[in-house]
Amino acid sequence: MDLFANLATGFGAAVTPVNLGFCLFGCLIGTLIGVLPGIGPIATIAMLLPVTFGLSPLGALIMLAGIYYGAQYGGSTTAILVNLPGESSSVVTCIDGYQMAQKGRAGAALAIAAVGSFIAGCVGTVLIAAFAPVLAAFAVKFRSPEYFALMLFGLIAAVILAHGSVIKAVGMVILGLLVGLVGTESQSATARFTFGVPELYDGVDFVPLAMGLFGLAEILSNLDRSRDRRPAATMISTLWPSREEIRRAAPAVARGTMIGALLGILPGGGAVLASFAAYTLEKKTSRYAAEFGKGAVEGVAAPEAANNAGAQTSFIPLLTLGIPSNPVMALMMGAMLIQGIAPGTAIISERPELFWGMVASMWVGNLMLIVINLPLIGIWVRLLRVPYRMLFPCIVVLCCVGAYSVNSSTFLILMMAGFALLGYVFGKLGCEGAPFLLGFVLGPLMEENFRRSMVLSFGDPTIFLRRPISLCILLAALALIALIVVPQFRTRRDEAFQE
Amino acid sequence: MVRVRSPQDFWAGILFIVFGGAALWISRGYAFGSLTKMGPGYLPTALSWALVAVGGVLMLRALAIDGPAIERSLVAPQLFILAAIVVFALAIERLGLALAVVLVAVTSSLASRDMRWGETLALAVGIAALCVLLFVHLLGQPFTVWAF
Amino acid sequence: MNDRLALGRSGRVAVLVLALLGLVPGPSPAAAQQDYPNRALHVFIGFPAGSGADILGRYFAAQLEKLAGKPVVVENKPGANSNIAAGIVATAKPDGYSILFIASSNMAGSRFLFKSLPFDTVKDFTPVAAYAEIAFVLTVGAKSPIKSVAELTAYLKSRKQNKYGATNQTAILSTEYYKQLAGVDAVHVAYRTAPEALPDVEDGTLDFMIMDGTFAVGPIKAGKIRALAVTTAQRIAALPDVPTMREAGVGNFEFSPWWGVYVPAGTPQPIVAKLGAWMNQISRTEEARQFLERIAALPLSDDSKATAARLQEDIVKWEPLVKAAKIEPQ
Repeated sequence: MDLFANLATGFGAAVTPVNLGFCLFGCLIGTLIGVLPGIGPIATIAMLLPVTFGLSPLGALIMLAGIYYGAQYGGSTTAILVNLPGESSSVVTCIDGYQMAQKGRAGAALAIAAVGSFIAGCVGTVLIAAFAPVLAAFAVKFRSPEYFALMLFGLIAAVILAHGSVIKAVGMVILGLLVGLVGTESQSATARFTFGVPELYDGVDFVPLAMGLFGLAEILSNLDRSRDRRPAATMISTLWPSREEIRRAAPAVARGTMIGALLGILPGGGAVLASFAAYTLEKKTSRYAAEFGKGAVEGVAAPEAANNAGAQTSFIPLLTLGIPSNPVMALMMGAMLIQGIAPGTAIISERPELFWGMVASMWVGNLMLIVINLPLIGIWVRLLRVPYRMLFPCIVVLCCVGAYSVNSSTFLILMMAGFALLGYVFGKLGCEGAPFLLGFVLGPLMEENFRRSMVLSFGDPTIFLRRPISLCILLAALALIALIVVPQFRTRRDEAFQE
Repeated sequence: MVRVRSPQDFWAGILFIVFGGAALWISRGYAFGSLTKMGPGYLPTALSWALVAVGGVLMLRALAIDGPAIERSLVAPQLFILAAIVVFALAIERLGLALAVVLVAVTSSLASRDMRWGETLALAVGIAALCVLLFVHLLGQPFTVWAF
Repeated sequence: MNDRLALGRSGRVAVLVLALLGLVPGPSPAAAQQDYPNRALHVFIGFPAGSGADILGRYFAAQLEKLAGKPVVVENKPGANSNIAAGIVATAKPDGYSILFIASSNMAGSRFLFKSLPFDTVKDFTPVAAYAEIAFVLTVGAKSPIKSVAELTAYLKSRKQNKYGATNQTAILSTEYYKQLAGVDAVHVAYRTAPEALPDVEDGTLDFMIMDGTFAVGPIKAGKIRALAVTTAQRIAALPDVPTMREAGVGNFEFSPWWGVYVPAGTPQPIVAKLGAWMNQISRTEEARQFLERIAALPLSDDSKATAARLQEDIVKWEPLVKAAKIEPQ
């Protein structure tokens, strides 16, 4: 069958010593930068771009791709261990992953994250191999109106993410939206909320925000407990997940993979939505819904699977249509352009060894990553046993260095301190960071797509209703609102009955 | 006198109102436009009002429904950590990475009551060495290691 | 023991540390010129990582690193049409370590496009070199029946509501120039990146788009969009069959956006000369020419004086353009 012949070509091209070497190098660097707060795949790939000019096209792409999904694996590690999200999509893993670590289940959480990611990665690779053109055709139907609808849907879902009060979650989403609007607005080039500070003209940078709001704020609140905290960390029973945990995680991985695979193909914001959507789905459909936010294993398995599946399928628009789905893909496209390869539909036919070689290397990369990451779990868990008084200064140091490495600006470091304080205050007031972050990420995209839709339709708001896909998504969003509102009524009725 | 029955909600409401109000004040200079031809000020203004409204609702609810109290803050440890971050911002360009990391490690360690000087200094030097190795030599980041 | 007393001894130590830090002077003033460079150079590019401008700039930065013998760090500071990047370099120390890679459209045009800039693109900068010229391509969807610029002009004239896409100032201004010369009207739809706009060009949602050559060549060759003309004065090697706008009959149209290197005004002449010589050296290599060809660009090797002259020419050309296009200054 054609598929097998193609895969054979692909493996033949990818499994040469040189290309395997590139893959390993990429995966190792990727894992490292994923674990280190601050530096991310974008900065690393951008730095390595000129180097790729002298490499073979396939080798260069394999290496860069390895960095990208290696960083996904690494980012989950810090999310679980110290509540530091490496990427915006790792934020969701922080919610339950960190709680699991608090309860002494760090090893289990890391293992589930790694294995779930691996399974999702394999499935993602198969999907690319078998369905790339079909998925691409689906992705192309998404334009500004559909994106707006999707972002709106995502924001409403963010409210469900919260395990506390709905009203506060709404407030946090709105606050996140406002902070997301900081920067220069694209259509009119007006600077908003920038106070004349040049570092704010591109908006608030995600790295200092996430590190301050999540990682550092967590340290600030931990220090309120008078004795060296976390006795539970020393009570780790086993390194691996229990049978029960695996049983619960498996279907979550399956669902997360599907969501991630679908949302990852959508250029623009797909990856972030994938992990949030997977988490929300689990929370709403699980028997163990009460555990979410306190260490539910599904809350780690689903988003992690979604993340990694999304990372694989996000290559599809680039390799089939020449459209990058996120900034990392844009850089990959840059690498291809440097090599003289114009990404687009021609690639599959004109340079099959490139397309199939990449597909094969993705699977190889995922294999390498699970081999790298599983043994590391033992080391990470042992790291957690270090007395907190020695651990937290290291986290503070790494956050500072990481924030500075973004673009050598001391302003960002001070901003990180500000967010740390803000996150601490949020914690005291029972306000959650995850809805804030989703508002922050989706807000500007939503505005941009809304405005563009309005310009394209010459001011006609029914454009969202006339297009079938966006109409469906908007209806789903309405259904979601109903889901949020209705249980409230139900509880009040129950209370009334009890009286 | 009206009693605040849910301190967390109450103060969260105040926080929202303050932020919303500030945003509203700042956005007053941006062009508003209309829904179909949104100016840069449209969304900020609309969102600010929404935030203020949410804050108001929260505050009112806090007067009627019981909720958890705000946990006590020790203040001192938090100040040390924040000071440590500021120290880094000041030190990184003047003193170089190595010294900056040592200073941050020491300053933030001071936040813990169980801190011991010998252990802290050893840790500080250790993590400084690790950072230099990792960020400068392995990852090629443009840090000045030693500014003298 | 009362937790709040923890501030006691440790607090005094901390205060002492902070006070001492305040006494340490900031980074030392400009280094000696003959040692230039004796530390990393910072190149500021006003476009995001992965954009056409960025790819081009990073190539030169990498080659520059080889010649300079010190690391060259590329810092992407996108936003406000490169004004942020320009602003940073305008106020940086004139010691040759803060370098701006910027497009002619920004340097020449920003004074007309923005009401109040915190810097002056002529007075606050010293031009160092010009290193590349990029072609922009006028495109329509492949399924469109329009096969030439003349047909496009006729089509646009016959309809009231036309839409064109543009991702940066150069594209907007060259479109306005075309509109003015051809006598047509169209509304601008903003996109952040060319690939984002591609599906809308392909299926005709956008009536036409003047696109960065770097990103246009791939889809053109893949048959998704059709090139009607290039904006440069001569045809480009990557698209030999595509006429120039002038050949296609659009008056005296010539829009050759070029990329230049600038440092803050007051940078010592020997440093400017050294940096300029390196840039010229790079653009004269065969490897650079091949690289540039792949991204639909041509090498330029202008030195400081020639670059200054080019900039002046552009400023003179742009003023009436911006006014005629009735673009509102921000």
